[in-house]
Amino acid sequence: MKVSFILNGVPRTEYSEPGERVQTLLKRLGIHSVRNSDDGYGFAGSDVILLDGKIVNSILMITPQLEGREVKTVESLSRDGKLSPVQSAMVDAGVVQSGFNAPAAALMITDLLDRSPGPAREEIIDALSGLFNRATGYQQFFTAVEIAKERRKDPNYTTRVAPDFRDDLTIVGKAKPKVDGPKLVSGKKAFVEDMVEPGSCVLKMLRSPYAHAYITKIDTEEAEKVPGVVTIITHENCPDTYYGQAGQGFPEPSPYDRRMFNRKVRHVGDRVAAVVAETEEIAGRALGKIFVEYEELTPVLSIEEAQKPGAPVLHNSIIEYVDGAPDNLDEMNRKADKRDGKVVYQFPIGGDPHRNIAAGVSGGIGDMEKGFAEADVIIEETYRSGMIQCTPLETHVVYTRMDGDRLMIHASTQVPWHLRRIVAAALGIPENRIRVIKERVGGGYGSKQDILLEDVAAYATWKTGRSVYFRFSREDEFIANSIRHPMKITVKLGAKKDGTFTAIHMNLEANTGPFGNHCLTVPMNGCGKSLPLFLCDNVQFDVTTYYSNIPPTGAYQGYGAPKGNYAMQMAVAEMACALGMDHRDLIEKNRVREGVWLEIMKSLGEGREGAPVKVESCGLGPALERGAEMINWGKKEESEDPDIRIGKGVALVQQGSGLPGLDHSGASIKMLNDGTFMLHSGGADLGTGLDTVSVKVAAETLKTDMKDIAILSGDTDNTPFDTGAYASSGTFFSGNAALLAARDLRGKLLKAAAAILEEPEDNLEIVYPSTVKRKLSGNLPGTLPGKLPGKKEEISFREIAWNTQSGEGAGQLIGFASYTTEDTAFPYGAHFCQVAVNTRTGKVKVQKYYALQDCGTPINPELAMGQIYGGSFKAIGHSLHEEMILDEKGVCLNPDLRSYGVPMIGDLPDDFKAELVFTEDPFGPYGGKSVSEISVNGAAPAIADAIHDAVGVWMRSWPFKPEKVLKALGKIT
Amino acid sequence: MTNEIKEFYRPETVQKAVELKKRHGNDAVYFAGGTHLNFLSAELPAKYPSESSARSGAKYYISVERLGFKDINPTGKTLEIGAAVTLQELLDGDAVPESLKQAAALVFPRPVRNMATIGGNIGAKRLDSYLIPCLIALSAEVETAGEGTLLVEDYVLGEKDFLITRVILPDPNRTCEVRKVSSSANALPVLSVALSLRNGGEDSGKRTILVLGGVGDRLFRLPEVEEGIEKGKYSTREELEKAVSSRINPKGDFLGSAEYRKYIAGVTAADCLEACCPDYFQSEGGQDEG
Repeated sequence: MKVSFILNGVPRTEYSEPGERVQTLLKRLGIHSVRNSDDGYGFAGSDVILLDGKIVNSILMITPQLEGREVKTVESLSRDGKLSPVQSAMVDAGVVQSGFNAPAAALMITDLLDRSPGPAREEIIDALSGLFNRATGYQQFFTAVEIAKERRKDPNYTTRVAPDFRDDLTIVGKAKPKVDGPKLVSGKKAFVEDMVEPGSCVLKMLRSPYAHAYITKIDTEEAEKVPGVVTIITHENCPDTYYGQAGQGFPEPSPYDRRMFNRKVRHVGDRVAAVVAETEEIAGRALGKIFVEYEELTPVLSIEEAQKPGAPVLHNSIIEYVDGAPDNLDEMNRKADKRDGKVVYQFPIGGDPHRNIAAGVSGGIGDMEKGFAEADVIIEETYRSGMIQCTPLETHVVYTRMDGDRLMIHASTQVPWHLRRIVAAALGIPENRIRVIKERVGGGYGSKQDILLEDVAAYATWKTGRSVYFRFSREDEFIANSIRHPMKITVKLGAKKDGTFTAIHMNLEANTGPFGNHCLTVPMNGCGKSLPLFLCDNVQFDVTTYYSNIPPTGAYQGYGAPKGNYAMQMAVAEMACALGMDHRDLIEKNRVREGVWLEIMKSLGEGREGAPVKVESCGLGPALERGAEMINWGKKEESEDPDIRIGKGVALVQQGSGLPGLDHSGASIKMLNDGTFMLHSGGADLGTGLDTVSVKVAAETLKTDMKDIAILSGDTDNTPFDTGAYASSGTFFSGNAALLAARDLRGKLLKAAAAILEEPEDNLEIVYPSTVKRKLSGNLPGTLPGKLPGKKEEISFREIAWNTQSGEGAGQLIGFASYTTEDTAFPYGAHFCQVAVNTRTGKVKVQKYYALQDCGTPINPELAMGQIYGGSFKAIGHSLHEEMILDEKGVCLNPDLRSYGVPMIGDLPDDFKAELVFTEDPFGPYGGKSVSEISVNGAAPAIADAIHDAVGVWMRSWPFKPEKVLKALGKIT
Repeated sequence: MTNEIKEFYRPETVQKAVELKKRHGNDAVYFAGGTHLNFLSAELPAKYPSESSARSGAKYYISVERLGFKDINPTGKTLEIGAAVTLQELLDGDAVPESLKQAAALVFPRPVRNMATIGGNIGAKRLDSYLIPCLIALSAEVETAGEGTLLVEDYVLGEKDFLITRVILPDPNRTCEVRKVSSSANALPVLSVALSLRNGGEDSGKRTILVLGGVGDRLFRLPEVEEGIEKGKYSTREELEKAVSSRINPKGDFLGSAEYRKYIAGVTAADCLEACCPDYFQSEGGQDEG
């Protein structure tokens, strides 16, 4: 049918099927800003448009509804390449992180300010009520609206959006616009979906309806006959290679326990067959014509079921070791079932797949028996956590195509180089046949550390020569993306009467689901990022990870820390109660401090041998003090409603800054002909602002403006190697690589300038802006004060560039660095909260949430605060209501954003504050430490502590849904 | 994610719209804001609970956009609301009673409120509607095209899908409270409750109306409890909570167990009653005039 409407002021007449979604039509018309995050639910708001001046969900509309109407998208907001006041305000306020639906937010705020030029807080909440934004935590949107409101009146209006740090620096530690902010907020081509060329094929996956079954027969003949089907891949014709999907450094601590397609399916949603076809509709039709017979097996859905004697075995496979095979391996493999395939360990990690154990490890320091014997009080409790989903706005997506004889992979990934290595191994081709281009990432949160779909699309393209687009639906995202490992953690804690801890034992059992992605490192991280928060001479941990038939697990922001820390912090809170001590006093007595050596770290190396670590910087002291003051710690608050009780809680948090000895980052920076620079960083910016970190540290080092440094990152052909953005490595590793590359270039600049100025290098310095200058001669031994007659005092970068790149020049100046280290920089923090518990309904309302975090020098203060808000708010959602629910057959009952229950702006704490606690760290770039992951580690224990303070019950299982709270209160059974 | 539609009609008159519906029968459906019908065509997981019935399956959409019915008219003591009035327009409408605004506001996302209409909401008979329990509690009626006027309750519980042209509130100022129970602002509701009390004066219906949504496979009322409230039978919140809980038999699902639903339905009904009449329980079992 024909539909006529006005699009951004231009009359259009388009042809469309009457059932086509408006969002799809607009995409076809080249409007990139109108995105799909929810497959037609109209929940996430990435798809909003202004229709006759009102905000609506284009994905909930069909094209006939456009007839005669006026559509405006974010493309209408900016003129001549200049951002609108709302868009620039959003960039300045730091709310453009992944940016996937930043254009939608810009449209919503524009609509708000058109309706209400001076909006109240409730109006802002209402305006953004239809926006799901996982990254930002919403809080800084209030600032963005405030700036936009003023900037509409005065285009030059600016205000302070974050505190400044480091008076000795010009750029680092100051709020500066995120380098990719303007591109993202104006909806330009940026994400994988924007790169798909017309005529590309679509890949759709047939997924298993069973949690545990053998495929006994698969017949694709009828499906292959569907016109437009290009290829179908199953376990019968895929490469016979075993690999793992975890994007970790090689050799990985995660086992290789899968092929591209397996004969045994191990979770509902497991891969059965991939159809590649000319269109999505054809692929969908062909999926329906694949005939599959299954032999259904009993599913294993919990740690307890996996542990039972005689439990069904998920991987009754042939076990192999690349290194360190046990002596009884042949005996172990005697009863293996070939249909289960193989499990290949790179080295021993304590796995025993035939008992459903993927990994197991123990370690510790001191003498546990002695420690507990010295205790006056011992508590021992078990803490549990369920299944939570990363829910990035941009679902997992990849676009693969051939360029001559090379495979191009446009990826939304955190690990371009691991992706290249794993795909190369899976396809059996050399890495130089593959180029991975990391596009902007619409939210990763850890789940895009794993290679969940790229291998299949890459193989399809390699096999057929056709370009292939493969995007997870939102339901795919729930059943086939990695979730956080559910855990059951028992903490035994001993203390003397005065509160001194004498012994800590943590027994951590984790559920890795069908495959062993991160099966050793996530649970170890649960111990490694919680036990070292307290100083104790006797500490022991035991970790066991079990296979099961729940959806796959993997990395999720915080890794194992949120769960380990929940257990540890709860145990400390419960100990304070048992001792009759103030919780904060007990923390103060035992907490980690600057300058101490953490002996426990020698047994907590993640996949390698550890070593004791010295804490060089730790902001816990001021964080605790400031947080207690903000929340009025110790003062009991009362509600006017007798059924509502108010309580306060606190939790310590820590994380790492990458993996010393394992991570590796590279960067190079070239001087261009006009004296500006091109920075090539291996770092993978997920929207967190890593590119901005890299540009800022380089600009600070070279004393140049940020605008004079352009950046390209995460491209395996064109940027140096980097292990990727995970384990909180971005600022520390990739940032340090950029810093060292800039220093390398700085040295070369001085050398070139010295030659031109005919002056020793030592007499020269680089000064802002972009100039090499003779040092004040009074400062130099043997020189006269003042200017030297006849000598040029300074030279600009531009002049140096011309000189070095001229026909007689010495060559283009290029700085390069590769950063590895054994140094450690732990970020720390204290999270405080105040909750109101409704004893009638069981509802827990977070009234106040204060996250005080030490990330050393905050390189981008406003973006660091955004990371803290986003992480904290995500964790509040995890703690209070997010949970995937499976039925007894392993089917997820709530595989969409609404029924799963992600938090939205309407769930914000009434008072939500992120504060940055400055510390001086010797190792980070300009003292910067990580900031993002740590932010998710505090909400569960802080809220549970506050609930106990309010109503006297310990919530030892999260999420703390109203029903669970009512049960704890004895209101229901 | 594409609706399989053969034709999208835009009739200019009600008569034409009704003719089209008659011509295509169950293959046709009236189409207003589209939030429900287009939602049903999304890639829904098989067990999505808000599907009020089977997926629409209709091939012919009859749009009501050119039929008008976009006005809100106070008429004497009653209030007439055009079927095409959106939920946001209800919220913005000066004449719209607070209870109905409260129900519209429970649809949290503004973009959806800008699209969804009151007529479409009733016509869709959605189990997770907050508007329908409120309208039933207000004894609202729907005016249909050629089929007369009937109570919203009868329309929603019946099988027919007559074209709705207006919604009529006979007593818009009736005291009424609406609540939803959900784990977060935009999450699926565990249940919704609406309760109304008469403000005195003439009223053809019951003086108290209690409507529960989300505790079964349809909306329903509890006449005995309504009568109990009328007669001041419940002197404490707990008595009313028990009375409600004991008369329902909800199923458990991923949103909550059966026991939780029973319990929270009672609590929420009592919350509504206290909000309608803050002194109800303090006055030893109710009030005479609501």
